[in-house]
Amino acid sequence: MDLRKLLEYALIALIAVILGSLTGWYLFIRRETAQTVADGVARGYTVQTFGSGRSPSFFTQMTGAVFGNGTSETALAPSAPGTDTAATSTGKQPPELWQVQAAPVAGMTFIGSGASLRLRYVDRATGRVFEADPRTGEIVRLENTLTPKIYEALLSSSGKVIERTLSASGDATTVIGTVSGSAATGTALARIELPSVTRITFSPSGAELFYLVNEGSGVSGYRALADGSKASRVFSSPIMNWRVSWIGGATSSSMIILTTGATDGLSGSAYELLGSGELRALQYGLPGLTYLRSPLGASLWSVSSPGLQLYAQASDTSASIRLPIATIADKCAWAPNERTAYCGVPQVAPARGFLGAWYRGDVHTADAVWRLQPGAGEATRIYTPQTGQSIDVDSPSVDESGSYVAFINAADRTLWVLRLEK
Amino acid sequence: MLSRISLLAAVSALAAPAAALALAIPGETQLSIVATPAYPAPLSRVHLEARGVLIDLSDVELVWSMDDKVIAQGVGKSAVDITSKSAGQTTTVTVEGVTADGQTLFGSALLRPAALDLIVDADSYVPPFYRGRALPTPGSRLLLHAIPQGTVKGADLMYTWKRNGDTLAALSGRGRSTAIVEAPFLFGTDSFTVEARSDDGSYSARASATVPSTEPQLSLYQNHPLYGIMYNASLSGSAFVRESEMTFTAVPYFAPVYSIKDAALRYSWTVNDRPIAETDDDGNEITLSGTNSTGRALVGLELTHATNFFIDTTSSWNIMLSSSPANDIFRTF
Repeated sequence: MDLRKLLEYALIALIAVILGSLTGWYLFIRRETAQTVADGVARGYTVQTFGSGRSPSFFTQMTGAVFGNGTSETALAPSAPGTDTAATSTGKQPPELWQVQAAPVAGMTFIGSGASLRLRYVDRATGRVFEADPRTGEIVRLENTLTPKIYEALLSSSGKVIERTLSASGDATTVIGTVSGSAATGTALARIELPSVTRITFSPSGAELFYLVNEGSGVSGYRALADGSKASRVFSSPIMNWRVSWIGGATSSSMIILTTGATDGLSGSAYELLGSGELRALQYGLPGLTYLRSPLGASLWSVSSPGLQLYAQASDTSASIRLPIATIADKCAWAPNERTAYCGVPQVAPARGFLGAWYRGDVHTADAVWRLQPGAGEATRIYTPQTGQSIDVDSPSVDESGSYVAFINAADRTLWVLRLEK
Repeated sequence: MLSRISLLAAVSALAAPAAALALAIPGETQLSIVATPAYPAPLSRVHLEARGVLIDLSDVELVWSMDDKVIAQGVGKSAVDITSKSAGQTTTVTVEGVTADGQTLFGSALLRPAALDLIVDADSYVPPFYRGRALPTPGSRLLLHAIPQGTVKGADLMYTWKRNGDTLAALSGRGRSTAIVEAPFLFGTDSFTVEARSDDGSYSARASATVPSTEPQLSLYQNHPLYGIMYNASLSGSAFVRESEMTFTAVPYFAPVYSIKDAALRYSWTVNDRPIAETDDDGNEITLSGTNSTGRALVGLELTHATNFFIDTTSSWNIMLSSSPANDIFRTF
């Protein structure tokens, strides 16, 4: 065989070996990548694509993670183990009951109305703020600061965000930030920390805060601007376990409401905090009281003895009406028209001692969604989850037009939206 | 009428059972009106009963009036139910009749509903963001706070606190609207009452609460590396965890401590009946790995307190973890 042919054969063999090696390397990387993704899914990660053109390829993300490309971390978002993220960007109308995010969220609120209606929420694992369009299913990220383990988040219509997590000592830490700009700007969340806060809420306009601080011998209540400045003490109480809310609207005066922590076996009370720092009773002496007030004075409340009962009152001076469903105020929300409310109602009556067990996560309910007309004492079931689908409605919210109800599923802290109009 | 007005005795729901005081005049026998409850709340049902000394009212035609309007009458009509007015508003109730032998009977009562709310709280441990109320356990303290309703100033009232009927003199007094006491003993139940009254008697109200003691409740949660402690889903007796390794956090609800890291708390863990060595930090946490094992862990926990021997709570969980470790050289933690 002459030398030329030998060289040709050798070259061909070399090329074949190189191609084979590259193919083997590719298959090896692919296998390991798949294993890494599987481990990530098991750990609660999956790959999520973002809107507004930020959709890095799957391979780029995973190799980025392997070779230390920091940007790849932003491309990974947690989801419930074994489930795919429900985020879509197809522009199609989501289903009637839409799981906005299959991973735990820390809080949510409706922003805007009409074509600009969005559901803004905070991802629990990262602390990042997202917006979902309930009409199209599109989800975009608004800011880029990574803060894991956000247990509670409150969002105001003015763009303020309160994020709460736990310190190493197990105490709550509270950070206030501002989300500005539009989607995909990657704006970092400017943060201000408030110490020793036990409860906090925004004013209806989002311009102010009201929060409670544990001071050893009781709690003190402070009002401050939304950035935490100009705080002034307006309330003090030897009672430590209060829940706070601040309601109001364009046509009604605002009201800070303090409600005692609900528990079976002990009476509860709901108070309005007056400007003088004194309390005016809205309801008191009711066993296992949970309370929900609308800006114009209508109220819903539940008692836990004997058995779970739900009541409504059109105003403080009108007679109360017992409603024909058994649920708690934590599962209810007033519609903007305030003649209607929406509640998650357990399809099986909760057992005795439900309240404390539910708050501790010991029990969960499988709810149907009901529309209430408290003035008439009427309740109508409007949605029953399909077989295999279970929702434990917690902290629902109705948008300004009364077209959607958003809520957190207490069982896994995922975010859902129910479309009310067919 | 004038004589009756002069006899009109104001009853501000102060003394029970007698709810009327009057001067007897010749020819007219005084009836007493007993109100139940003796301290009626605003806009609530009040049962009124007329009583006479050595007088059988069953044969007497009685006429009841409220604010000079007849509301009920009949032979032997010795009791009537009314609805009280709003807090601070006065209702005058009278009852009158004539016996068969011509004796005139008369009684009156002045009802002024007063509202007093009694809030019961405890300083036992609950985790941040917990929406329920702390319950009293042995070693914790009960926080009792009375809030009078209406225009009355709480600081101007005299408060009398009672525990199981015994007056707590040290906690009572002017403006003493808060009482802090030791929680009831384990398995015990105590009854607390507070009475508040103004110096001029225009306000008088009472509220009470029955408070049972309880023992701390242990809940176990996944402590997820991204989500943190999953307070929304406590582990039940049997639980399956997808991961092969997970940290779990025990939360002692209502333990008589201010912090979950309180050094006085003792967490004694066992896994598959083997005791786990105590650690100085994070004693309420345990990390389990199912790698290269069956993945089944019977986890036991006993919670005790260094100085409070009433605190001794145990619980156990049967946890199944994934036993297949990831064969991944790129795996990072």
